[in-house]
Amino acid sequence: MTAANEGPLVALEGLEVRYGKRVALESLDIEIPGGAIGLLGPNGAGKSTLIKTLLGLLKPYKGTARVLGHDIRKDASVLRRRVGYMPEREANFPGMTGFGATHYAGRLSGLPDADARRRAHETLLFAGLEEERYRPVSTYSTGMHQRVKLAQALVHDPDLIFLDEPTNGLDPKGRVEMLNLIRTLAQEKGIHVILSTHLLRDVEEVCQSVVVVNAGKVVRHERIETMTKAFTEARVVRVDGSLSDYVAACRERGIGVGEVKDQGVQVTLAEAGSTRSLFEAAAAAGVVVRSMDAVRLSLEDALIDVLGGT
Amino acid sequence: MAVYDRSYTRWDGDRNARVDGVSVIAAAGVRQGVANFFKRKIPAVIVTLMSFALFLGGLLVIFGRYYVMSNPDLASSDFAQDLFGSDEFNRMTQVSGRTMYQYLIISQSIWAGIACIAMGAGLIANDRRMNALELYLSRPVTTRQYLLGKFGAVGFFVALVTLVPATVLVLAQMSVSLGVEGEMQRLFEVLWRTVLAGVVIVTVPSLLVLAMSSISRQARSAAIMLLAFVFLLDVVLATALQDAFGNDQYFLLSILFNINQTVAWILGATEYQLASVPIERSIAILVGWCILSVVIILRRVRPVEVVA
Repeated sequence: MTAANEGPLVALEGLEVRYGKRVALESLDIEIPGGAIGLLGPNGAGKSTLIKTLLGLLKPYKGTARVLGHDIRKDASVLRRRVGYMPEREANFPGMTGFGATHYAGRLSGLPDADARRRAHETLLFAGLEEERYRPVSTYSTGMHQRVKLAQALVHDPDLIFLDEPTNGLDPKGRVEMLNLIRTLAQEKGIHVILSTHLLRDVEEVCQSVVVVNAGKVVRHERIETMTKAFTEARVVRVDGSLSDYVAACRERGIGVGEVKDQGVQVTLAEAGSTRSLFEAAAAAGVVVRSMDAVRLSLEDALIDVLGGT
Repeated sequence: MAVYDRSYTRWDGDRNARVDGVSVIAAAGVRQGVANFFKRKIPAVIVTLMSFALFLGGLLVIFGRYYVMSNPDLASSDFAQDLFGSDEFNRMTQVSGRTMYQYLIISQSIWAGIACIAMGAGLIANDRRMNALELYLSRPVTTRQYLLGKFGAVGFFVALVTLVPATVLVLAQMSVSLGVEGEMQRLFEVLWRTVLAGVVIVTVPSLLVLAMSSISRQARSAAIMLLAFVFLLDVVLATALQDAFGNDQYFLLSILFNINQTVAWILGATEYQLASVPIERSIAILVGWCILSVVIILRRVRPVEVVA
C-alpha cells in the first residue's frame, strides 16, 4: 500500500537532527510499517521535530530517512506531493475563506484548477464544513480551524497524512467526530496516518501501533496489543483476613506482587490464564478471597511504564 | 441509495505533473491584493483611483497632442483646429522634454511606492503572522518558488502603475508612426529601453518591500519600516551629507537617486541627471540592495523557526 516497490512506510537509519548544537533527535534507527501509527512521548520529546524532519522541513544533521520509499533529502518535492500535513499550531493562508484556502492548498500541491475546486468541496464536506466553507477562516472557531486544516491536508489525496495534535482544543463531541474522520481515513480509505498526540485515548481509538519517543530517542515501537499485553495477566485480589499474610504467601509462590491498598493487592499470575496459585496462596495464608478483578491496563499505564524505565 | 457520496474519495489524476508554484502563488497574491484594495473604505478607494486617473490623464493629454499633431488627417480636422486654437490648452500641453521626463519619473516613483506599500507590505508578514509558511513549504513548493511568487504579485502591481502606462504610451506613439521612415526603428529602441528601465523600477522596490515584509509580522510595521528606511537614506543621509560637504558622491546613499540615475542611463536621457556620479556605482549599489534583500528574505522564509 505504501507505493510500488516500497518497503516500510518510514525507515530511519542513524537519523540525527540538531537545533544548533542541541541534539533534538539522536541516532534513530527504526522501520515503521503502514497503517495508523501513534507517535507518543512527553513534551519536548521530539515528536514534532520528527514529523517536520520527515516532511523535509528540517534538515537532518546526519543519517537517512525514507518516507513512502522516498529519500527526504533527494526526493523532497515528490514526497510532499504524496503526504499531507496538519500542523499543531493554528496555521492558515491569510485572508481566505475555507474553500479558498483549501482550493489554494490543492493548487500548491499540483492539482489542476478544476480538480482542486472539486476536491476542495469534497474534503470540506468530508471534514464537516459544508455550511461554513465560504466564511473567512479568520472567523472560524477552534474546532472549525482543526477541520479546515484537515481538509487542506487531504485535498491532494495524500498516501500518508501527518496529524500533529489534531484534537487540540476540541470539545468532547468535536473530538469524537475528528477521531471518526481519522479512523475512516485509516481503516476505510487506505491512507496511512501518523498521529502525534498527548491524548493516549486518541491513539488507542485510532491506531494499531505506537512509536514512543523520549528525549530524542525512539524507546519503543510496538503494536498496541503487544505493548499492553504484559499487563493482561494482572489481577487485583481482595481478601477477608490478613492481607500481609496473603502477600507473603504470594511471594513464597513466585507470584509478582504490586501495589497494596484497601484490603486489595495487585498481583501478576505466575502462569498465564491460571488463577489456581492465587487461591493456593489464600489457603496457605488462612484468608478468604473476597473478589478478584482482571486489571484492564490502558496504553497510558503502558506508556508510564515505558517512560519510567528509560 | 445515496444520491451523493459524501465521504472521502481518492483522486485519480496525474500525481507526477509539474507543480507551478510560482504562478499559483503570484496569481493568489494578485487576487488577494485586489480584494484587499477594494475592502478599504470607499473614500480611500475613490481617492486612489481618481489620483491614478489624473496621472494617466496628464500623460494622455500630453501624448494625445503629439498623436493628433503627427497624424495629418486628425490635425486638419475641425476638432483639432478648435482645440489647438485655444491658447490655454497649448500652454498646458506644450511642455519641454525635461518637464515631461521628470513628470513621468516622479509620478512613477510615487505610484511605485504606493503600490509597494499597499500591495507588498503584507505579502510575507501576514504569512508569518498566520503561520502559513509551514503550510506552503510542507507542499511541493520551494523557498525560491515562494519568493518568486510573492515577487510576481507585488511586481505585477508596481508594473501596473509604472511600466504598463509607459509602454502603452510608446506603443501609441508607434501606432501613429507606422509610415514614418526611421521613426519605427527609433521607437523600437525606445520600447526596449522603456521595458528595461521598467524592470529596474519594478525590481528594486519590490524586493525591498518583500525584505521588510519578511522581517515583520504585521503589514503596517513592514510599510513603516520601508518608509523610514527610504527616508533615512534619501533625506537624512544622502541629502544632508551632500548639503553639508557639497560632494555628489553622497547621493549614492539614496535609493531613489540610484534608481533614477540608472533609469536615465537606460533611457539614454543622461542629460536629465541631477548629479555627476558614475553610473556604474549606482548600478552596483542597486544590485547590492537586491542581493541583500533576497538574502534577507531567504533567511527569514523558513518553515520552522529555530531558536538554537
